[in-house]
Amino acid sequence: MIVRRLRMLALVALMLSLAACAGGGGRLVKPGPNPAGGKLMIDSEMEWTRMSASRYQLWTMDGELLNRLYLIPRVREREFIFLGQRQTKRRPDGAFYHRGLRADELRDLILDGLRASGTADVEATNLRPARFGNRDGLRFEFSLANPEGLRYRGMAAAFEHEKGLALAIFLAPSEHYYPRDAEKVSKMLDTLRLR
Amino acid sequence: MTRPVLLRVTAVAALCIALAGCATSQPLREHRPGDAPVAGTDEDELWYAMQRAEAELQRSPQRVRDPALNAYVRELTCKVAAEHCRDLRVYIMDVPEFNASMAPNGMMLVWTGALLRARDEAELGFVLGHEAGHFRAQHSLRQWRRLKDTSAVLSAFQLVAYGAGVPDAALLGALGAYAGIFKFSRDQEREADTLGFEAAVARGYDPDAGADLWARLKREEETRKYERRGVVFATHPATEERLADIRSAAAALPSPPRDRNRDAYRAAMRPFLEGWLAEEVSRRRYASSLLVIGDLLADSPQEDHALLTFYLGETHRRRNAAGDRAKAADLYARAVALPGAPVAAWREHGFALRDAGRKAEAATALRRYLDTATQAEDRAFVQRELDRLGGTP
Repeated sequence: MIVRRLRMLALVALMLSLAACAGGGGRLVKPGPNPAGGKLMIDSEMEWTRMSASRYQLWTMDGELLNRLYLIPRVREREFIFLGQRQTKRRPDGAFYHRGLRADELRDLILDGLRASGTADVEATNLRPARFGNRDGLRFEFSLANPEGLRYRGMAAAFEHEKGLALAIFLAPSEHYYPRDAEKVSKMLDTLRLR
Repeated sequence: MTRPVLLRVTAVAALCIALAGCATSQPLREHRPGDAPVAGTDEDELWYAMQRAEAELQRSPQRVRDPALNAYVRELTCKVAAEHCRDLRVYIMDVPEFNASMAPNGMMLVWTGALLRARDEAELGFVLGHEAGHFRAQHSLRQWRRLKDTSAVLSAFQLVAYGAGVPDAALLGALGAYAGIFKFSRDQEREADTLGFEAAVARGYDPDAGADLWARLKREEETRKYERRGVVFATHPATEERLADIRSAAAALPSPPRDRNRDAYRAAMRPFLEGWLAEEVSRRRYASSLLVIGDLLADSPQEDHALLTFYLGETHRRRNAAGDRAKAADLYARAVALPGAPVAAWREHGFALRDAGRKAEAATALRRYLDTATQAEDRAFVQRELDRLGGTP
């Protein structure tokens, strides 16, 4: 009887998880031009699985821990760089976005946001100007370690537009996954633009 | 409350007290240096869990492995831990907050934020003595047993309370029990403060050191009003209470020692100062960092002034509230006029001059930055700015 109940519970759990996939997240992204939330567009070089939240998209190929691409079409004035909290007079502390920051200030904001999320050894390299459609922006690469010590590498792209900051961040383990996809993802980030 | 309900609550409370008496209260073993727990005891289980955590910690990317710094902090720990020195293993963790902790198996953690904030050996000795005090008094084991006992009694109490039809009493009982655990934790912190104080003073350190450190921490705490904690569910006593206690303990000593060993402390920490300041600023706790770096600047020798002045400017720039850009500009101008200014001070000075419309001086400062920082990571952006200013040689 107990075994039958456990089987039933496992079946219900499986159905629920499948239902979750069929719902909001977990859609296939095909190579080519793709919407990346709001008016943000990106040309994909490969297939991804897309999970959409109300204000950002998370794309992955092999699972979130192995590769993830965050696409945020709009970080608003006084908003935490990875969305969520807003800066207030009562709570002024944090990595909050402000319009008109220099490229290195935007880079530092992103790095401090990564540090605040619990990662360690966060280092950036190769900060450089970039064009996204007809807008000036920036690109850079970075490395970090998660709390368990697993080393990651990543790349970031950002540009300001009329309504805030568009931001893309790719992250994958330094071993195998990052080197495997870095070149293609880098090409993808160069295609970020607003419709 | 109606009379029958009152009677039921009284009955439940009486039962709870009776059950509390049944809680385990195993005697603590005599804590002699070098001793380990007896196999099969709950303390042995706790140590086993901690040893596994320690194995993880040893691989942590946040562990500071510099041999000289580790040797210095280890030596100071041994001084204040005295006979328990060989039982303790000290791990310096690269975290820019004030903290240190002690596990029951002798694993001590000291965060780099504590090393940045302490001024001398006497202050750090007080902190390390406090943590060694936790180990000596077996606080973690006591706390763990208290938690287990409370949890067992609480489960029984809630069962009876719900059965008796007084769910409110079950909820109040839970709150009371957890408040009791937090009070127990606060009492242990007070005891560790006393043990740390006595250990540091016994090694010849100035008894005012602990109060000096706590006074600064209290001021820092006050910059984060939004983090104010409750009293009943706090694990540590209020900073002002701890400050008052160690001040009165220091005042009670008739002819106290006065060792501080400030120069030795500074020499050990100086190689890490710039990195720790960069991490301090990265926390983006602006008012707190302005206070910490400002206090360091007031206490520092001339050779550190340029660095500390620059990082004060960095904090203002990152906060970017009304008036901050002007304050940052002033601090950058002062930093570059001092010997030993970090090269990034020239970049920020250049951008501040540009914002003030002083184009030629801005170009000179930015050019100096690029000439000095040949591997500058932001070279492309700075060069572009220099070109706009007409500063390309």
